[in-house]
Amino acid sequence: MGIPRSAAIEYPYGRPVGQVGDREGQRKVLLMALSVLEKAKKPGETWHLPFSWPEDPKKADWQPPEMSPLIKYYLEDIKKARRG
Amino acid sequence: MELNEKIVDGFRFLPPGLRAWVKTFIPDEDFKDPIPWTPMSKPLSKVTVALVTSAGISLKSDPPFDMEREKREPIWGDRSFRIIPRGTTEKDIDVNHLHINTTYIKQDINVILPLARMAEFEREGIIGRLAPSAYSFYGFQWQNNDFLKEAIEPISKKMKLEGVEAVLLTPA
Repeated sequence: MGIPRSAAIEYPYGRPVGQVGDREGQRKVLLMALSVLEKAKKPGETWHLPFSWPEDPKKADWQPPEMSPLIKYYLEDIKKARRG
Repeated sequence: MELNEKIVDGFRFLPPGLRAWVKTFIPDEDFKDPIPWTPMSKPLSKVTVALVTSAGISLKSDPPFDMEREKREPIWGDRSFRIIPRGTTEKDIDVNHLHINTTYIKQDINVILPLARMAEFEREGIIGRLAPSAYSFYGFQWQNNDFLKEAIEPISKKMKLEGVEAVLLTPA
């Protein structure tokens, strides 16, 4: 099953609408995401939102405090994928 | 700034190992399966919108999502759902998700379930109405037909009762 319309954003996992307490930033993201409802004309379109997260990905601190059970379970596969 | 002014890198926040691993699941060919489609029949300012998130948010008065079973069965994810009434704030919720840092959602629910922002848009006439109910489930459902039956079907029935015409899904 596919997604009817997507608004893609380059924000860290867990905070797709924006930063904590940033009402204005959240509003901008949502207004543009909602505009996709009217702009998309056919199934499966992805529209890219132009916003950039202010922190380096390594500093975004989005990962859980403890490695997830899935990652633990597949750790060898992940290491193998990284080695290519 | 305009839509499509930059192309989003969906892997930007993944560390290199995870990035390489996740890419092994992405097919080379274009997506060919059916995509549901209902054209917008009226302007956003007349539309009733509901919010849905896969962030594992539950009201403190409801049971939390089951993390203990997932710890025992790493490829299982809780397939239940919770109703989150409009007006709910971070003070009212618990967040359980083993794949993200949930701290930020507990500080400001709007970073993923923007109930306060959407209520503002309703007052300002940007959207027609924010539905009485929002919904949270727990992500991590792998092509799961039981999940469609047990969570998505009842959610969609309640949405119909509440006159929902558009849904914004925010993934965790």
